[in-house]
Amino acid sequence: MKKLLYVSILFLITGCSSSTSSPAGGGGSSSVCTAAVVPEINECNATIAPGGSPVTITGTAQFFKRTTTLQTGKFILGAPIPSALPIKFAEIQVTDSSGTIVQCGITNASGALKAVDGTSPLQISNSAGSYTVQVLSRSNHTISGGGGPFQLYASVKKDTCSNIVHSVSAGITSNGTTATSPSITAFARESETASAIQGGAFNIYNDIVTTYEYLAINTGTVNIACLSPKLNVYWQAGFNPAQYIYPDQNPSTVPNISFYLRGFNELYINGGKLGNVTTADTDHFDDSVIIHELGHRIEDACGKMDSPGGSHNGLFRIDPRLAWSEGWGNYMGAHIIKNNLAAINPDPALAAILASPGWVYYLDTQGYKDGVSGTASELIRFDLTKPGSNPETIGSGYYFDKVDGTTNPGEGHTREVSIARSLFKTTNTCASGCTNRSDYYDKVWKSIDKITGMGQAIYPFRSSARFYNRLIANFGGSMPASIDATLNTDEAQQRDGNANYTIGGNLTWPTYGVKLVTSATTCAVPLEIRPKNEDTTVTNGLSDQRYSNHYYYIDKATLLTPAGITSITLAGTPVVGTTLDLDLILYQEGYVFVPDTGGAKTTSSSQFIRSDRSSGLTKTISSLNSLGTVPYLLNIRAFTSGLTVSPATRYTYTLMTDTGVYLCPTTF
Amino acid sequence: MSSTIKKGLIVSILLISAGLSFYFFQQPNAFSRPPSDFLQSKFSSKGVVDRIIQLRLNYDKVELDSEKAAVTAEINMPFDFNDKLFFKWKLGQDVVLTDGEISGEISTLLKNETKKVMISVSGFSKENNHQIGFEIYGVKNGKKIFGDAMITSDIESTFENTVQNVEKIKASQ
Repeated sequence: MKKLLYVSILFLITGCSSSTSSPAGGGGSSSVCTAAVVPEINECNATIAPGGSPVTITGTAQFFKRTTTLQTGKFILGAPIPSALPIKFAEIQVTDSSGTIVQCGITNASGALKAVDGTSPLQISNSAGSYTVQVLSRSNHTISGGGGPFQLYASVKKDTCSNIVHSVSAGITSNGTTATSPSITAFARESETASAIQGGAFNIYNDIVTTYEYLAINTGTVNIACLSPKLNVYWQAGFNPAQYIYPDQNPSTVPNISFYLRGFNELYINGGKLGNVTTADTDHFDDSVIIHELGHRIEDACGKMDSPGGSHNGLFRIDPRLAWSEGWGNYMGAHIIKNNLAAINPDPALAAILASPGWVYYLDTQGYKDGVSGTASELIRFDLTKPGSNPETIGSGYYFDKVDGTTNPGEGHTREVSIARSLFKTTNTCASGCTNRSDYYDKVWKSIDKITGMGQAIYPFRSSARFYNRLIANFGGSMPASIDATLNTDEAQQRDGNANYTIGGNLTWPTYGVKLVTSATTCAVPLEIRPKNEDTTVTNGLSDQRYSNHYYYIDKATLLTPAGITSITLAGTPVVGTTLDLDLILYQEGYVFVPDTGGAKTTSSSQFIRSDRSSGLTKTISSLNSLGTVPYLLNIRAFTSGLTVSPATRYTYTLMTDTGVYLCPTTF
Repeated sequence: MSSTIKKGLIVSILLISAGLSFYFFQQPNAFSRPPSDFLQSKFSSKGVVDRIIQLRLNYDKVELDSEKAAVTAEINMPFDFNDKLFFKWKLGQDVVLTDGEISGEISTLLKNETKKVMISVSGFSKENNHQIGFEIYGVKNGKKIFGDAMITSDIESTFENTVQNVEKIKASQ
């Protein structure tokens, strides 16, 4: 399965490489990198008493990044921004000519060099001599949030073995009374920084700082100390971090990717390939991509990430857990920029291009065009204010998660870009399509976190359906009509219990992960599945997640054990349409969906805790009394691979136990 | 707590949460080995493509930019393909084509068959680190099939090479 996953990733990603490029050192040769891990250097966070008549160091630290500009209607990376951005809250180390640290400090919100308290002057002793002022892309700074303080604690480093923290430095001279003011600037052009492009490291750092500052003031009174554990970011110019994942593969054909390593608090940002940064796909100036990955970290740290990972490309119905997690990342990658453009890209030329309503995009670029040189292209762009019925096309009939709330209610819950659009449109102001409400991001946060949101352990199998279920709870049980309008008529993400899911008196889409309970009689609303063809324009050809599968949460402790249930039997009844098998599969939390491909039914998998995939419509899974205590998911699957399924196909079904009671979905 | 120990602890927790009951200690190593469910966040930048055209780029190693180097793309398909494939070389800065075509097409490529496309260039030596890219695509059943590759004139200077070497060191220990 692992191999299959890798293969599918390779098939579906095109990180794009290629080159028309200048040399841009990957920097690898300058690192001492063997099989041993070199620890990151200690933090410099305590004031060193400078003695009497200290000398004050003044100055600011700043960085340049490549701006976003238009080229024949496409967004690309252009020349560096005209005015540098401040390096905020970053660690300062002042060393003497022998390399000894003589003072520690931190930059303030304007990038000014300050003492470790962030406000006092940065001072050294009155010993005349030469010194170096170094600003690191690292911070361990306390931010005051509405719910209490939390730490901005992050390092942007070169690689996982040397753990070298990126930095910029400048020499100064002290005559014992005054010191020269250092000019500390990280540049965006490789020609300006011996190919290291330190501006890339500080841009990644700045995206983290900006996101945390936004969260500090937009999460109400919620304590967000969940962000405090240290975040390690790995990036270096010209290096494709996919090589970490595929170390044995020929780097010439490894696609470029950025990714978040779940559970490790590690982000890996794509810096190029084989030393190429000029035409290869890079992400160090693609703020949407950086913040998307940070969004994964935020969900992992402050909520609960259920995504199974794997391939996705914004075109097909996919696993609702993956769709949610990626949709959340896409949303964060656009929302944070829209609401903090001045802190992320203050280029007046970009502001003029965007005009009102400002930044509304998820954007991924390749290469750059600097003046008349360079080759750049727009890899991915989608406007998150577009209607769900008419999003961007990428040609050949493929759209970024086009949905139809009338014909296919609920399909938005299986589509990441649709989820990103609904989140964006319901929390922002825009020219059209938005609810023009931007005052409740705190409720969004409360709906994902571990305190009141779906991050709580009682909500396994998390998806956008669960998110909106928690959002209405955080609105006190009454969802604003404008949000429901977006979900119902625009993005096909009707909430649980929506009337559109019940057709002809039957429940045709039980909300993904709804809990089963026992019933002495058949379900009050009979269950019906309406399988679909594996249409390659709307599904990935691996079993339609909206139509050909139903999913129910089984809690052994409250469902099986008290009633003494040891087996469950599915009994399907054809209503009309194509003759198909209905199967019964039991997964557990953290499962990876096992597809059927090429007309073959997958009958055995380590992912299957129990399964009955024999032919026919009556299936039983047994020995349920020996299950563990983790949450389980019961998958009712219509086997459709390689078959032509009539659009009218319908089956009703029941779920009955060996104790003679029925199982029915309860309140979500 | 050192990062290595911390990672070992986290991995242990992950494995335990996955239902494994034995104690696990991760040996120190240079690189994190992500689990198979790592979250990658790329979209298909060229639309719906199957990245299945297999490529291998071979090149002459020369010492000076003034020397000519032959670069060959070996192309394979996992199935018989009876239509056109379109290819394009992408030459890095200061890499100059001295012989061959910068773009072209191939018709018919059978499974187990290798087709070669060759160019000759100057400016692709260890004197400086330059890159050459190669892209190829075709259309099968309405979907684009695709392959791309990039080579560099000084592989030892790249961090990708460092990562590979670390893996070899680990494997030998």
